[in-house]
Amino acid sequence: MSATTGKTIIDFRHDIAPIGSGLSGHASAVSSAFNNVSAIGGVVVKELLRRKDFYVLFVLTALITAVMGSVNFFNEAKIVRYVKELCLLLIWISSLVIAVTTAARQIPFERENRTLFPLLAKPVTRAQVVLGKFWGCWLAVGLALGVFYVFFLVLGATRDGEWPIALTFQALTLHWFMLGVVIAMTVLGSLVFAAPSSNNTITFVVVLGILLYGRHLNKVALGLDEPSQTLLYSIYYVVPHLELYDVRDLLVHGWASVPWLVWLGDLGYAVVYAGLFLLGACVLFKRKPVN
Amino acid sequence: MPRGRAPFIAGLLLALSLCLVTWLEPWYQSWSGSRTGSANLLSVALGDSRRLFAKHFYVKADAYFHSGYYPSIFDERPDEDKLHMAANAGSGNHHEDLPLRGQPNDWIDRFGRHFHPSVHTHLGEAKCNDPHHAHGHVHGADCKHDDHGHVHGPDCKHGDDDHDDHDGAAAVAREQRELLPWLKLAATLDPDRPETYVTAAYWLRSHLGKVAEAEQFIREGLQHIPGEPELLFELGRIYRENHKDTNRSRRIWQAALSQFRKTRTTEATEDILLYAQMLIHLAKLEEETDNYVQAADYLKDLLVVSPNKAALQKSIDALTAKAAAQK
Repeated sequence: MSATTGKTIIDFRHDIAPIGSGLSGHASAVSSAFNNVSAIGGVVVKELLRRKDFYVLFVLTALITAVMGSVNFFNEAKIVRYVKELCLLLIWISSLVIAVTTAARQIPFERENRTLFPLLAKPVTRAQVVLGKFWGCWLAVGLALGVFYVFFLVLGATRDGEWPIALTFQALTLHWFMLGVVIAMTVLGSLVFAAPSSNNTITFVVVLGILLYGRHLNKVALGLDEPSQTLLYSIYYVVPHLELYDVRDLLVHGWASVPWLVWLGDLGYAVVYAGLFLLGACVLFKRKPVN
Repeated sequence: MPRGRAPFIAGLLLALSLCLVTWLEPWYQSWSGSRTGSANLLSVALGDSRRLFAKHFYVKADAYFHSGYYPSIFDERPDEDKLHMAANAGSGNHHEDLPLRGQPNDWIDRFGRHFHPSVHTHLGEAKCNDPHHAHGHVHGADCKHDDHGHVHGPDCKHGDDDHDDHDGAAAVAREQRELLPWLKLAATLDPDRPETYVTAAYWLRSHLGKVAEAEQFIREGLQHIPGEPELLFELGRIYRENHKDTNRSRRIWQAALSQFRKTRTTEATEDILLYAQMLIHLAKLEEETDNYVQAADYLKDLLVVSPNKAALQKSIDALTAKAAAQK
């Protein structure tokens, strides 16, 4: 309430949100923002559960893996690595499809249906909308990944009797954080590109390009003359190295798990890039007309 | 357009299409590019591009042999015909091991090596991305690996071809069978590539004890490439080394030699090696069955292409002496 003017002006964040929460001032604002982000995220998770994308992709993954796993090679029943490799490839494809397509449609969908106006009138800030959409997509993809990796772990154990829990956990978390970067990139893209379809295509091309060639850009750069070498090496340093989250070969060929400190560092690297993309998305969304 | 003309035009187009089909169909059936002659679904779907996939899967088997450690197209990598997994298969042509990975170029490269197989290793060897495990490293007193679940004994050594996996032969065999799906797939996609059959048969009979499957696979190859000397030579080895059937292996090797002389020359290094292997194996077989004259004849043939003529001449002299003593 304003004391200087004498008029009764109600500020929602300062006056209403703290009511009953036992909080006041800055703490209540943070709590309110967190609640808003969680609420928006919850809607996205429910949307993924209602849609059939995940179920279709999971059934397809399980079906293709089961069919390939039933092939007989020279009467050797215990061959497992090719099945694991195929299963992980399908998990990566499915999760990328779910993450990119879900994230790309969030904000454009709200704008098209004009549900963005009542959402922003709650009051929810634009940054909270962006963060809520990101959080919901990331959480939903995380749930899907959990189901996929449990399937992978059980599949491997039934074939070779091994339970590489630590490395599977690392693979799952690294994969999830990598998808966090991809989702943040897609949310930013949804504010830059005109339509979800173009955003989907461009994000897929960029992500696949980084996954396939990101590791080798430095080698290519070293073979070039100046100034191309410096330019390409700069790109190599700037792009988020998503391939650092791909530990499929370690998992398939039974290598030792990644040192935990290195694993933690890798997660931190993803947090930095996801944060940068989200910051860009928040700034862009703040300046963008919603209609 | 007036309504009355529509059925007329439709009928005209239908008649035209029927005329064209009577001309096109026989031409398509006799066209050399038609895929309808093949009953193989992969052949129909992929055409000649399946050979590219076959090469890819053959290389994939070599990547599995190195437990996922494999140079990319941006690195120095071995020739597809000289892969390390095929080093002891068939005639053992000039096969190369993978080059060791150099020092990382930058911090991303160094950091990234934790997340993919970056230490040169082979099936059955300890697998850890710690550079400590690099090929060529000799285990010292200060080495500690207990955090990898890999405890070393006092006699433990890294780096030579005697691997350092402590799980025993069963674990090694368990890993070796993982090559098979890729080799089978490569043979399915390109059935005219003899080295795929030879390599698979070598691993099946020498490491996995599946002699019957190896023989069956070589015979499958011979159905696709009848009279291929490399396949006949490998089949002869199965009869000689696994079935201990001297007479049959002799006949098969003689057939291989005859086919080789009909279809190939000794100009290419790979062909010389195959030719030499056949002659050496036949000479050894004849010597073991006391046919010294025949054994000496094979070595005389070998003398023409061998760079080590002096040593070979000694062996021929020894065999001639044995033949004289036999009389």
